[in-house]
Amino acid sequence: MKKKLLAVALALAIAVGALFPAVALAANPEVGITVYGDIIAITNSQDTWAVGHVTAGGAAVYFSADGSADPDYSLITNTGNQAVDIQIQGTDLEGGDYDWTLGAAAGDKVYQLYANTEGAPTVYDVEVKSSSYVDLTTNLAKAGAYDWSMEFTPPTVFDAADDGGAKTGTVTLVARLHT
Amino acid sequence: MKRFLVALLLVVALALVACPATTPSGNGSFEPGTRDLPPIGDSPSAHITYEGNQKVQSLTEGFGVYGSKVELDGIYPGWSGIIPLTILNGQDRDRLFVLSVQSPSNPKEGYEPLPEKYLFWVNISQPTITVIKGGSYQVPITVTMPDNADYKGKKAEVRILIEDTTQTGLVQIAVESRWFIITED
Repeated sequence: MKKKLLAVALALAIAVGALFPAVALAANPEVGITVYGDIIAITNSQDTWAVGHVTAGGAAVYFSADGSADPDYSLITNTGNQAVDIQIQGTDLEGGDYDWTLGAAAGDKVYQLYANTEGAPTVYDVEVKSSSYVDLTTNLAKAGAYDWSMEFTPPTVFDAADDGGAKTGTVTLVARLHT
Repeated sequence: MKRFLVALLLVVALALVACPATTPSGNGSFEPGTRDLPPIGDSPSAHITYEGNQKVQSLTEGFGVYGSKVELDGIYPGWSGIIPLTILNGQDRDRLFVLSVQSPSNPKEGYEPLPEKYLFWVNISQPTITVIKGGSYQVPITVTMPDNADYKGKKAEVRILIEDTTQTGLVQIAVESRWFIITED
């Protein structure tokens, strides 16, 4: 009889615990969770860029339809409903016999990539890095647009005979809420 | 009879203490501007306050994230909660997205980047998802502060990066949701 009563009591206790977890939760501090129900979204009008054949120490090539300077070539549009900051990051170029490193200045198997600041179209002064995102533009308003382009400078030194073949990399634009 | 009563009280007490340890915290109230989200999987729903737009809107182009900013105020060792993040695909075809947790290099003023060793506190159970064109997908994000965590009274930022892996061009776009975590003193 005692065993039966004990079993009933055990079942009752478990049921109480399962049905009323708030009783125990009440002992825990309250955590405030707030989600800001806004959308972060952008589009970019131009995404392909075939730099073409380059030579060591050769002239810069621009992100444009024909490789010449066109500072308004691509258009970023804020399609979300909050102002955003947009940052840019590049990668090393891979392919061929040797990879080319993305650096602050062109060098031996090092290429350089800069983006331009809107409003100063002849100045390509935003250094694109592979190690971190850097600001391209900040506080781009809802429905706002930003014209931009890039300037590619090939390495000053590479052995064209040994290092033939196509190389590829990516440039990423990331948008986040402006604060 | 006395032994029976003692045993009964002991069992009831143990059951009450042990049962809710993994339940996401919720305040149980229904205030204006808040809503309960439907349960995600087998987990209980979390009660979350929403600021700004209450309804997830669709996108007609590009892709984005609904939940520009998420704040968790007062988490403590042993706490765990599930917060949904919604990915929107306004593009012309189905897209494969990859989500990852990032420690920011430039956090909000007054906040520090959530240390790399604590990034596992933010877990994305479905880091790869396909969202149909014109559709959206709710991804559960679980935030857990381990029992033995020594990180009291901190303000940290962590970001969730959403990348569209079906982009093929040299220039690709990504979006981030900013998460601000304040730990209890």
